[in-house]
Amino acid sequence: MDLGSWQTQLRKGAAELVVLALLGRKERYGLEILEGAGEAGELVTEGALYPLLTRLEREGKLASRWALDEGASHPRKYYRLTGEGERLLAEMRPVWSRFHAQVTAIVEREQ
Amino acid sequence: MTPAAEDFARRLDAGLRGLPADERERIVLEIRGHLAERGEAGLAALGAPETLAKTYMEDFRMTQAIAQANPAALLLTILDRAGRNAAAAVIGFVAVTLYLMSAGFLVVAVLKPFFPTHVGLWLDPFSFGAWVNTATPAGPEVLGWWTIPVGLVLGLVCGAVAGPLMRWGAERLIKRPVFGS
Repeated sequence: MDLGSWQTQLRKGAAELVVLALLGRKERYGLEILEGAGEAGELVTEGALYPLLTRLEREGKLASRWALDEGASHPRKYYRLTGEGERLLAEMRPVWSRFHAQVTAIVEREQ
Repeated sequence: MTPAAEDFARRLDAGLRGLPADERERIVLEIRGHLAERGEAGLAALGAPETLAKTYMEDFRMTQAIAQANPAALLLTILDRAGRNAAAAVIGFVAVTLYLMSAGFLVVAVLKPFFPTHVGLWLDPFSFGAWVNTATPAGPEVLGWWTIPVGLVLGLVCGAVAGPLMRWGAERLIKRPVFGS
């Protein structure tokens, strides 16, 4: 497996949790989510983010509203967590923490 | 928007053919807004519009597959998972029970005209709720010819409930978080 495709797999697994966690703090539109996830696109790429947001909304995890903000030439689509989204985030957090701790313990021990 | 961004939006829109019109419109509007704010860098980061459209379409088709899958395929998929997944086992068991009940009620409705004295509803404590009575029936039968419409309705309701239940279950089984244990 080459490094690039492995990184893509990692991102794919993490993207949903990253998006839910960012929206758990406050309502954001696409570009704000990208900025929150790090401009380098290491966690969520732009090409993956928008389809992911659409899917999460279709699944009822996110709700959205359109707003024409001052100074913006186009309407922005703001996303927020629904009750179902909040529940999913609460379920995912401890799973992630455990996963992260286990991987870190092994990887850093082998160094 | 620059001509390059306009071209991107147009090609994305073309790639989304097959989506419901309002959803397609909202997606293109969102990406247009993104490109307007993000400029040239955003255009490069999004990759090819056809690839982006394909990602949207794949997600959409998966949702559609669950919404439109025929009940037999859904039931087989759920039962296939039942050995490894307790939730799938419960959903599969309830679905099979509903289909059996549905078949049972329909059979009762169909048999009533042929065996009017042996098909019906008896409420005596020994043949509790029995619908088809092979022995000489004891006590009065409750429904009479109403057995047919009641059997048909209950049969159809049980059958109709099983489909949505399986869809509901399949959605939850498939959309487990990636890190799900």
